[in-house]
Amino acid sequence: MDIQLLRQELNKLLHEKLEPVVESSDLNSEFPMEAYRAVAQAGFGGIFLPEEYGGGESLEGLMVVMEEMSKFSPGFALSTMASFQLFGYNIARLGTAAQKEKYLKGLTGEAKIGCWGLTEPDVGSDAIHIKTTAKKEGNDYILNGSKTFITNAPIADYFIIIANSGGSGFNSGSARQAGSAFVLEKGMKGLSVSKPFKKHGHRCSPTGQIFLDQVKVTKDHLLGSEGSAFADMKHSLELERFLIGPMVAGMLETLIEKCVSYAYNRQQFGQPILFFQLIQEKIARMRMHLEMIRAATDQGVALIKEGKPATNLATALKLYGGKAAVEMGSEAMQIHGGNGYMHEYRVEMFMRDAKLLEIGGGTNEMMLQILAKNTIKEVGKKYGVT
Amino acid sequence: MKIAVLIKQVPDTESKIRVKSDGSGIEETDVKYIVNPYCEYAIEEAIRTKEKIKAGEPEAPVATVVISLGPDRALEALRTALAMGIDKAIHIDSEGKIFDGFQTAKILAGVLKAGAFDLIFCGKQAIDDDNSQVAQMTAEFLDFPQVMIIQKFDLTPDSKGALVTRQVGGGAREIYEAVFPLILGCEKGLNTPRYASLPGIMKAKTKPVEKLKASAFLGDTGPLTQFIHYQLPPERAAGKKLDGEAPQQAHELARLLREEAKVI
Repeated sequence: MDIQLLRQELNKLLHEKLEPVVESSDLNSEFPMEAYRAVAQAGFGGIFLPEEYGGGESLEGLMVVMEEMSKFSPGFALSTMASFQLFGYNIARLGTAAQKEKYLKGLTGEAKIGCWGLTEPDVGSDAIHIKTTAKKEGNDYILNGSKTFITNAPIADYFIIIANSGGSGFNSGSARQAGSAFVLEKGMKGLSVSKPFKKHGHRCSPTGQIFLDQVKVTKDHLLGSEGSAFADMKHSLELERFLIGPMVAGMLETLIEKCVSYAYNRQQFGQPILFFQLIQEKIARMRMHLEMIRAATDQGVALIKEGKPATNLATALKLYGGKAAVEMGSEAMQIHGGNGYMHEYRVEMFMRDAKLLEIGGGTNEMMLQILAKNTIKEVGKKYGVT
Repeated sequence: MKIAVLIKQVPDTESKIRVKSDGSGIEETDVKYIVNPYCEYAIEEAIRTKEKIKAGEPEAPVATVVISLGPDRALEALRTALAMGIDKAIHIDSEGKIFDGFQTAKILAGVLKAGAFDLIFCGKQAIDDDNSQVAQMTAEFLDFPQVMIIQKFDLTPDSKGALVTRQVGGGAREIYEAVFPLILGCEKGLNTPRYASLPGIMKAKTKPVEKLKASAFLGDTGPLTQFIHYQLPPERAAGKKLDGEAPQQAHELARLLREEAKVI
């Protein structure tokens, strides 16, 4: 993969198709479908999918695509990744040949939109206690329940739904072995979605609920094997955590550009405010975070490619990246002063978009808990901690 | 059929141009380069022509080659053309020199002659120096017919020439029939250039890029024109705000228009 060429060509496409609609899609909470279609059909969304389905099979490429999209609109990046990573990548690694043929080609060729549903009204971080059920009836499964905060749900053509499929773990202590994933399609009887939620940020990316009322599917709709969904999920969520890296890097790059150019043109007390050290300190810290995040992302790519454990780095990067985005988004607004508070300077959009990164895909608190648990387990052994 | 596309890499229209302090050229650092937009029409038309021929005659031998004269960075532009769908690239290394249009045409003509092309597409002009000379002079060196500023292109039924349309004054159109080998300068409106796709970008890596040196084709041809000095247009002076009541302002405005602007 020629990474430089990928970046250059994708940037050109986004500049022409996405850039002109970033502001209106954020203001009106509308998904920029035309831009999405262009990115999907040119194949960029499928950068990490298998080559035989039009993908690029490139992890470095995935990071670049995420970064470039996030420079323009983190919400657009989020929706595209929900479609191609959370849905597409899980189909690619867990799906049958028939599932891959149909859904992966649908994502690229027809710009179909995918989503991935785990979270429920009462179940967030405590994922294994989901209440959505999939009861086996002969060769079929009957799905019941609801999902919430699902990226792309209101506009999705394809759905992956995680449900409790019973078996040995159904309503018993071994819930961990009871999760199964199912692939559903828009239009199935009993499957419906809510309108997009009104959100703080990521407004161009529709988020909503999924309702399952006696949805009957054949065995062909099972993704992976029965009871393996929670184990399968771990790998995909780790990769998702790493994607925070390029997302925040893209956001910081845009914010740094906006801040330097604004601060140079904004005159106070007879000189550009860029020359004030208090302004420079903010820019320096943006650069510091950008460098750290880039380095950690590169390291994550290397670890994943070598098949080495990367959970701690992924978790740390998720935590660090989310916090950096929120803090720097706020500082970028500060540099822009009153103008930063206005929509048209498109700084406050990044600030609003940033907050999700501390919540979605695992809260800061969960990341801290994972890091604490792993560290105490690892280091505590020496001291007899049990 | 062998189709060549001549392209130039130019600064992005959104780049801020800074002149070197000694006026000898523009500062290249921090300038983003793109494929000259008119050259993109040329690339697209070459790819479409190949696709059209292949659709009717899948076995027909059609080769598309993109050619650019420039420093190493010109490779980026060539790679873009390969990612869009051109088969092969030729990079003519300018070896650190700047050539005028006459020398550029001489070099390109040499490369084109060696390649024995039937059809050569290029942009009608480059948006950096806006010289609009190279294609015409290249045709002259090769003794090929040329039609510039074309907005419509079709192969003749025997595929040995082309029917091209160009707009002239007052919205009238001229329609030319010309025989190969032929050089065509492409204008906006000819087509909508495609975006490079991910599969195109992946294929681009395996496509051949031939490297040539400009000096091998230039011989002892010297320039006919020379850049003496670059300078930016003068900065616009600040506007003037008129004070006082409306009648006084009107009086003052009339005076300024007459005495300073000298327009009334």
